[in-house]
Amino acid sequence: MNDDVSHPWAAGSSGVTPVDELQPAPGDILDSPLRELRRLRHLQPPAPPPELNQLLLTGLPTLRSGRTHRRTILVSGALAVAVATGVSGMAAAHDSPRAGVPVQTSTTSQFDPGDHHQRASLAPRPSPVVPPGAPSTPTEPENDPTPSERVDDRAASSSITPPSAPSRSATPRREREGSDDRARFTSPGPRPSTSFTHRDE
Amino acid sequence: MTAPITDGVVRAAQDGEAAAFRVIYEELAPVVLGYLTAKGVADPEAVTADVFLAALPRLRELSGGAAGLRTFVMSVAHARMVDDARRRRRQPVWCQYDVASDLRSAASAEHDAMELLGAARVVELLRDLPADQREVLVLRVVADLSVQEVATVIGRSPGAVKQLQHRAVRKLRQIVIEQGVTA
Repeated sequence: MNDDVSHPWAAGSSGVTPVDELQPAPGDILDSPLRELRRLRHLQPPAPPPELNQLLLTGLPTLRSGRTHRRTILVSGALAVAVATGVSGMAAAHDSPRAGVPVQTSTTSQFDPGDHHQRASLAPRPSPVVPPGAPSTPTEPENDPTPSERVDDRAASSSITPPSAPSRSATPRREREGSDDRARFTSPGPRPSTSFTHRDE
Repeated sequence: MTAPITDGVVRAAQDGEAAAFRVIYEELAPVVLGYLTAKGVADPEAVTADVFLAALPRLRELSGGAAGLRTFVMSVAHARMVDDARRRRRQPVWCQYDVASDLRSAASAEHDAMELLGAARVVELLRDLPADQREVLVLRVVADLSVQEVATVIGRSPGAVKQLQHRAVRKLRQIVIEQGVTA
């Protein structure tokens, strides 16, 4: 195994020649043990297990998920700050009637304690400073591009759903509830269907 | 023979290219497996896979090119080996005897004539070395790391590594003489 000396890593990154005691002369008593020890580095590993094989074949997904994880933490952190700001803003609006804005009132009325996504999607908007004349419609979050603008990376935008998904999921949820209601209330009369027609518009 | 790991391969792996991952695995997996085998890890093949499962996704954090990659992978292997040793100390693993996987199996007389010492014999010899000396010797010889790189992996100073290596070689020579093993 004298060719090991010419191996680019034999001297390591320092480029220093290996110490002689690890390269004994051919007749030395340690030559055979060290040669056998060195031979261990040529053991052939078995076929990689499926999980590792997937990583070796695709490469990217694991790295992407790691990056996504970091982004998710950042986005969720930003959302947490926004929610805190929004809550404090709502509290301030509640304390002082002059600061109250119709948008906040409408969102407060729609606030669902269990729906974190809805809360998160509504909170980032700087709604307390919206001009009083601005329309406050419940469907406004669907058209709000602010959350998706934060996720500027196109690779991550497909996998990071929390900022944009809530606004999409909020309405379908209502629609689902509505459809359930519709299924539930088909016989009583036309009232549910008219309300949904109005919502679709 | 696989392509050598260059800085370009490392950069490609950091970009997540699967081909670069395969080059790294094919080049370093035998080294890691040899290291874990020499250290007496119970299931070196499985731990080798664990090492790469842990190391490859973290390549973005890596700096230092090919040499840095080697040190990084061996650091992960070292950590896994330590985990394995601790786990086995806590709960000994009972398993059925398997002739095929028994490294102690004696070779035939012909084989003895051709090869006085096999890998299993060397592993047996290494077991008589103190743990830190064995670690340095295996990392230097099997993993082919420099003194500086070994120091990084085991968290000691380069001077301490040189000292441990010198003692390991001296001790190994003594063991070989005592056991009457000749080259």
